[in-house]
Amino acid sequence: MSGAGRRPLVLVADDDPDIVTLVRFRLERDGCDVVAAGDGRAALEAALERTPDVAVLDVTMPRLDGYEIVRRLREHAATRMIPILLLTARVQETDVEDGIAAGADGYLTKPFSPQELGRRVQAALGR
Amino acid sequence: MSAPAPTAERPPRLVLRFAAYSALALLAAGVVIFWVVRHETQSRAERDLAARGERVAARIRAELRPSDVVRPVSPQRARALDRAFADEISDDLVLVKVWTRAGVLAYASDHRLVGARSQEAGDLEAALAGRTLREVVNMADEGARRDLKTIETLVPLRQQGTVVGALDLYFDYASVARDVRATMTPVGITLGVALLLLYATLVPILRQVTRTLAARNERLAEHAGELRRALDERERAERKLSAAERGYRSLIEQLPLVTYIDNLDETSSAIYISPQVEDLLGYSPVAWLGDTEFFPKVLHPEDRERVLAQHAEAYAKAEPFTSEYRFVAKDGRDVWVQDHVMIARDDGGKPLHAQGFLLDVTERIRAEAEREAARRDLAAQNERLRELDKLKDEFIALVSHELRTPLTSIRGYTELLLDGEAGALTEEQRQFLAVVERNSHRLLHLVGDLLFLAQIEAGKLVLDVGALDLAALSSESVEAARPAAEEKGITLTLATGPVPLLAGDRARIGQLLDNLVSNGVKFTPAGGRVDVRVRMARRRAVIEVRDSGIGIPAGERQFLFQRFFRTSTATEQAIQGTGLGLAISKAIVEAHGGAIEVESEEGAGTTFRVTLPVGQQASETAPAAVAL
Repeated sequence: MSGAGRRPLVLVADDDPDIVTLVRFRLERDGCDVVAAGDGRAALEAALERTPDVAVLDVTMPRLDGYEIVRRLREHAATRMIPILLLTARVQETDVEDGIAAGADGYLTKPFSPQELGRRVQAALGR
Repeated sequence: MSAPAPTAERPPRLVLRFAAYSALALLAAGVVIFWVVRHETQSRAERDLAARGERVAARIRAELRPSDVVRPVSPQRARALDRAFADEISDDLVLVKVWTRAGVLAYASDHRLVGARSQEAGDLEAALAGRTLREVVNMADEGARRDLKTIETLVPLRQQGTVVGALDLYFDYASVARDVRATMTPVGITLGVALLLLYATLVPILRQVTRTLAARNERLAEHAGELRRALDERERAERKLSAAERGYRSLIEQLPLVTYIDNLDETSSAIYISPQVEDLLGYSPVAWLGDTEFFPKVLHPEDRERVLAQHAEAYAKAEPFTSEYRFVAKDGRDVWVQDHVMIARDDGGKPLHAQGFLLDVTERIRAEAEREAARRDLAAQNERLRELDKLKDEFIALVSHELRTPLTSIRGYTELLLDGEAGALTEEQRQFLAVVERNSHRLLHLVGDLLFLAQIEAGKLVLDVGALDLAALSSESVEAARPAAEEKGITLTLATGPVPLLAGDRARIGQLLDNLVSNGVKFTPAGGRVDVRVRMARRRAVIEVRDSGIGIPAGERQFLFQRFFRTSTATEQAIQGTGLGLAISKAIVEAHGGAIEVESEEGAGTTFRVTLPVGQQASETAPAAVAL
């Protein structure tokens, strides 16, 4: 995943810039580089272009939702193995099942604790 | 054979009558023939006599001298003439007279009335004019002494072509009678015999004829009798039939429907329609039957073409059918009828006419239309409800998302600050941020409760059923509430007996326990107690949370588990809360197949008691949807 000395790259996608900033702050403190996207299309393009080490995707985004991004990323060899965490404001169990079925590795329910998110990303990075 | 006696008596009488008639007819014929023959014979005898008279006259004339016819002859001359005529005078010729031109009797063989004038001037004049006359006279009338029937022949006497007088000869009629008798006797006998023979042959023929006639009469009478009986029979049958028909008709005309009979030809015109049609449509049968185009006219314009086509087809094929259509009644109402048409056939199966009945189905059609409208309304309402339900789901999802997203930022940034990620905080800053954190937590809790409640109401509460340890869960809830209890100086205790593992949703039961324990702490004044007991009773797990709080007014207990309900004391004492906790608790308990009850005494405290089934029952009821 990450070579020695290189900071891992995390894709953070959410249509709420406050949340992007919050997550970016937490992850940069934890020693990651962050590439941010404000909508689903931008997130998919960034993921395909930069091949991040972990992707943190909001489920409910304009233009392309989190599930769809997961599905698309799993179609490409370069992005097939990227660990993906979904952020969802929904609470019904079906939402979670949808996410896992689409190929996500885990999810966090909004509101989430930034510390908890940090721990989940570090775990995904294998640290 | 109703009258055999009169027909048997008739022939003899008839024969007698015929015999009498034929006898009379033959007699009349005989008389006529006899009379005709006799008359003919007599006139021939008379002619013969006259002819003789003329011959005698011719001879006598020769004897006469011209002077003889100028004046009455002298007696000598008369005697001379007597002698001259003596030869001629015989049995037959009884009298000879000679008349002068002046009509004076010049000579008479009997010497009487000589010199007298003729009393029959007409006859004499005719003779003097040159004509010969013949006449049957009685001698007495001629002035003779004898009464004798004679034939008088008056012959003109001529000298050098001029009539100078008349010779009057009287022949005894007896010779004629003799001649007639001589001729008529055999004729009469022959005629009589012939007629008798004819009659004799006629009578048997008559008998035969009358007998034949009688027989024929008898047969005719028999036939007549039979005919009469047949007619009587038929009349009786017809009377009976017409009585039956009247019966059927009155029955049919009493039914609550309109019956009719139509021609099967292309006009399809009505032959009969029952009077109920007036009740149905307001038109009389007379109006209906008086117009062959009446039926099409009263059909509803929208149905007319269809119904006429149906009728035409069915009548042409002579097939029965049933149809529903509308009439427009006289008062303008639409009248729905069900028309049942049948084809009446004769014994040979040949179609005679169409007959049927019309049922008024207006009410049924109206009811159906109303039902259909109601069904459509209901469907539309259902559709609206589904729409609303969907909207509600969408609203809940939206609210959930739209509230949780800003809460994420509030809580996330607060956490960063409290973690000192933005630099060291003063104690005051930390306290203030703690307030933000606590309230954001309350807000989050409220969002969770609202969402949960919405799920319950939508019947979408799904339990994540697993084995749960009630004692351990109770302990967690009590420990979670302990800081708040200690802050208020409240004694919080937990006593757990042996309770088996339950089947249930760990998170929801935890939520239930949290609600009850935190409620107890919230509504108990400083220095009070909250005691939690978990035990088994009658094979059910029992959770009791007893507080020494303010209590619940008796009148308000029934509303306690309603959402958003807050007791008056809670409101008065400004105790924070949304009124959702107990409603949610009740829903959770009931979803697990359990029950929740409350005992309370105002000012003394309140006890909430939850009983939950142990074992399989719980898992069975686990996915239950519960409405509040």
